[in-house]
Amino acid sequence: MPSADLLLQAVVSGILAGGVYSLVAVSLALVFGVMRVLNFAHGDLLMIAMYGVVVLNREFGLSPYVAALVILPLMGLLGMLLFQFLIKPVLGSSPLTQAQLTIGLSFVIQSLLLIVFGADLLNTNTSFGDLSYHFHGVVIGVPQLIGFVVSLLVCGLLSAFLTMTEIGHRIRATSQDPTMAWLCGVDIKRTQLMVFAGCIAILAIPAGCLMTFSYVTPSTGIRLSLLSLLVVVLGGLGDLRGAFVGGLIIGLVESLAAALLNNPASPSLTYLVFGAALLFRPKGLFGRGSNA
Amino acid sequence: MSRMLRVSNMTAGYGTLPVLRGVDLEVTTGEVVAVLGTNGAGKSTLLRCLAGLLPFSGEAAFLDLTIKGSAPHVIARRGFIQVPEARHIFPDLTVLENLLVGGTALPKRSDRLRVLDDVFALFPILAQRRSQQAGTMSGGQQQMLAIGRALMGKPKLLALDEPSLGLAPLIVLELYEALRRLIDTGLTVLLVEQDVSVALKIANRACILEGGRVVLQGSAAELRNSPHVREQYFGA
Repeated sequence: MPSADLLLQAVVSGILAGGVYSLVAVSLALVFGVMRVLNFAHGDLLMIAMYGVVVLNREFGLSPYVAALVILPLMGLLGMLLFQFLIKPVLGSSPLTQAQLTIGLSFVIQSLLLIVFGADLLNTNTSFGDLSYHFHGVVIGVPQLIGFVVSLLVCGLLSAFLTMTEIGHRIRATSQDPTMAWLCGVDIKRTQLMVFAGCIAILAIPAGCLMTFSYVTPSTGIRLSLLSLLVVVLGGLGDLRGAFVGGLIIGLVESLAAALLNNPASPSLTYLVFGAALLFRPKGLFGRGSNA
Repeated sequence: MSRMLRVSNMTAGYGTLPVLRGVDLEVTTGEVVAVLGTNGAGKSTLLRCLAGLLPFSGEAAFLDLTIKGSAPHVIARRGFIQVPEARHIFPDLTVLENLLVGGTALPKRSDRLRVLDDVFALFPILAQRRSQQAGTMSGGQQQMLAIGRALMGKPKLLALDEPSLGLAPLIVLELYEALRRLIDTGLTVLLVEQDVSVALKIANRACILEGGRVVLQGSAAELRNSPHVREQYFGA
């Protein structure tokens, strides 16, 4: 049995990582809510942003945070192009068709990055990568803490945007009843384009945060895609609050599993929790999502 | 009196199943026109076509806008706004948020806020419940919200699909009183109803849709006295 200190450490690390997962999952959930397309390449798009951060850091010496801000509009542009040429044609078609398309996109991204960057682990050079606080035997890495705080902040801003602005109301209306929103005069095609572009642009932020304390390889994307899909289904498809809490839970479970089991089977615990959630809360944590 | 809506020879359906078989309809400014008929007569299909949601053959024009090929938001922004059957309020949005989404058809925020005051004056209950989640309101209140939301776009022509459906008789009365006040302000209305007697009280003109065709049309008084209507719809 691991010591209490180790458990506490696992809880803290898990919640810190979970905050970043939450932001990734919230953007995925918003995409699903507004266009009813489950994007299996979400983590791969995040990975593109992570490679972008690496390139800017290595070539121009930019801090990952600054690099993220540079990449953000580029990711938005990428999102627009993907929506116009890949997502829009499959809107309203069967979920299987949509899944095939986005899973295919995931493989294309993975292969392209493998060709360009090779299979090596890549990370960034920062002056603060090893800084940490020690607090009653628990180590809190500064980059992890910043990543957590920034992710929470962005989630909060996104939530404020959706609830306090008229554009936000229109986005939520489109997600609840697209036909009715259309009849109200909302240009839903344009709304979908902007939401998709915005959600892909936002990925630059977790990418910058992750690259301060983690590494990236061409297979990082598929891991993150799976993870964020897990979170979104756990939270209830399309439920942003559920995705937020789901991110924290998955981060926590992942970290606790590693600490408790400490063997190669430990990642399976995440899937066990996920399976249990599907069994007992098929409409998500708050019961407000679409059926998984 | 100028023409507001003209539909000629509209034919539409789902797949190979025809629902509308050559419908002609005209609405002039300031009129209240009722489209009556039983379930499955094609009333809702007619509205879906006019909203730009369903393709059709034939012609339909709202003012100078050709409806065929126009997207729903374009038609709404031009001033032809619908309250669909079953209300379709946005359940997780508050009452105020629902109304503001309805205001999307107006480009200027200052206009939207001015119209919001008018809507609150017409339906005071919506002002009282402005922060309530819309899905938690009663059916009658939701219907008022649905109408209020449509009014937020300052429609020139308001289409209502079965506004009395599923509501208690007392609520229907209250609803039609509010509609009467709206019509008195000069609003042009296209009213689709199954409840013939209540619709004929408020309409100037009406047409009867049966099997996707207009079988009878005329003034409300003419229809009330028509043997066909008496037999088929009043059971007398």
